[in-house]
Amino acid sequence: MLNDRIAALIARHLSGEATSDELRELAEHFQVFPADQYFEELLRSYWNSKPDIPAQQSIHSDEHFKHILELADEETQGKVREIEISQTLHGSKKIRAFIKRYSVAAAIAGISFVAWKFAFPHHEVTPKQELQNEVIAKKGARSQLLLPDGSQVRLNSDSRLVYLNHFNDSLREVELEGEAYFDVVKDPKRPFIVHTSGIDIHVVGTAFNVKSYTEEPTIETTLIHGTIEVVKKNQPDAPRLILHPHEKYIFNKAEDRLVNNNVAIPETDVIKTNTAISITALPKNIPDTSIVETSWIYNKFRFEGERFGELSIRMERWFNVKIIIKNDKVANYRLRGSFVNETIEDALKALQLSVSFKYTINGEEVEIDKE
Amino acid sequence: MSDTEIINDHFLEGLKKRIAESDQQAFRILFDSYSSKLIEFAFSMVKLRDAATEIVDEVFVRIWQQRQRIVSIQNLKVYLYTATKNTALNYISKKAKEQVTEPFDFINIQIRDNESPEQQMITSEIFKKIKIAVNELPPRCKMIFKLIREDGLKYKEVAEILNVSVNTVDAQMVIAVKRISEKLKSDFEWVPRPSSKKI
Repeated sequence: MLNDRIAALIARHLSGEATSDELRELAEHFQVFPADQYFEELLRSYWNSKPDIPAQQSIHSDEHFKHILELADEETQGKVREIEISQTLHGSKKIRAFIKRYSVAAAIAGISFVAWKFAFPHHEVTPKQELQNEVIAKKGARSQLLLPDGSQVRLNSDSRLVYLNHFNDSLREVELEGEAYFDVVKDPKRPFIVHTSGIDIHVVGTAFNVKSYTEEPTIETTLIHGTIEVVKKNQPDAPRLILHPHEKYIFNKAEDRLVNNNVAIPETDVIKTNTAISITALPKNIPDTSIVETSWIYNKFRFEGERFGELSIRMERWFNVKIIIKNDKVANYRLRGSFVNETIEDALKALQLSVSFKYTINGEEVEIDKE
Repeated sequence: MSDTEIINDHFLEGLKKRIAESDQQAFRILFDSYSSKLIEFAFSMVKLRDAATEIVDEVFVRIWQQRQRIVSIQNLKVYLYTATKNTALNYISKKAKEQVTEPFDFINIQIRDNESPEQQMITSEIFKKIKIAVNELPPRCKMIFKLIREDGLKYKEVAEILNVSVNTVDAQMVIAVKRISEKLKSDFEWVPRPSSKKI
């Protein structure tokens, strides 16, 4: 029987990995054990007999290649607009100059490209350093994805998540617009960071929800289990806030004022305050399926005392409709309840049971007025 | 040496620059040199020709769309394999409607075996035994053996592609070689062994 060392040397020899010392060692061994040398020769003739990978047939290859260029063009027009922008702004030569400069800077600073890209708010006009993946859940749809490290992400309607192809290496970073629920695989060596427009969330291994829609005044993150740290964007020196399970962090984008307790969670206390930031505790002993912040993951649309006006924005995303409330009094109705798998019409009918209003549905537009 | 050496690392660097400048010819060279290998690689995981081709198309489409960034890819060969692997795993996850996270422990890896009938006729008993041994290797081990032998990749490259350490690649190759030697034991036992009592 071959021992491990000799098996390793034979494998390295065949694959061209052996050093000259190792080759000498192997030759010496073969002098004493000719049977092993015979085995290596058998294996080598098999090793070298690999069937040739069929070369691309030229005619097929022509068509195939054209097809790929066409596909790339088609998709570029819609999806990858950012690249087009950077192209028109700089021209390709300048872009390469940029990349060179960045790589030097990155090497000096000892940071990765990834960190560089996210650290600067103007990245949309600079070329991306890495190929990136983008996942989009359109209005009226929700999506689920698995990141390369095994972490799970659920994307709520009208949301976009970007991660780089280098995601796996030393830092796991994603960029979020909209709402997502993360279940992150534990790996202390590779921190997981969620970047939003206003805050960065640092994670070790944990499950949490992030809501960061451009059109909403706040960014919120709710922790289900584990620990996360929240840092205000562009203030790397600012103290990090540590969030505990069943706490919710609310960041007010507009100004440095304390955010009111969110009406969606009536029985909460403000624990810590810090200018535009507040942390509230979620009611205890409620299963995840029933918490407003995470119910969407279970395909439940839940609301706890929100004004109809605020709710309608969420409903627009959920049902992919446009909702216009013509009457202020109706817009101020406070509502609580939940929908599961209902159509917009079912939902409106259900709401009519508790408050009075009338609605008309015209395709994707819903008009709501007093009765 | 092997056919992979058609494109050496230096040449690949040059190709990268030309592709970044939207040189279709350079992109074509990259495509012709790697698409068949990558399709084989994807096929070893998904086991459907059409799906494997689509997966590799997607990888090349992305490269062309984002060609300005190609210069920042350190090892394009490793990148191509990694992107193909990830796309193939996504495909499998979607098809199975469940997440595939530790793929190579569960996926049965297909070893290429596209010899003509004539070739098969002249294949010796010994080769047949080796092939059986290779096919019976555990999936991860088989994948590593396949990438090194069939695609001529370096240990380091395979380690990067499969996201394991070089030591793991080395250890898996040891397993492969030992399993093959066990299968062939009877064929070379007649070769005299020195007595174990000898010092």
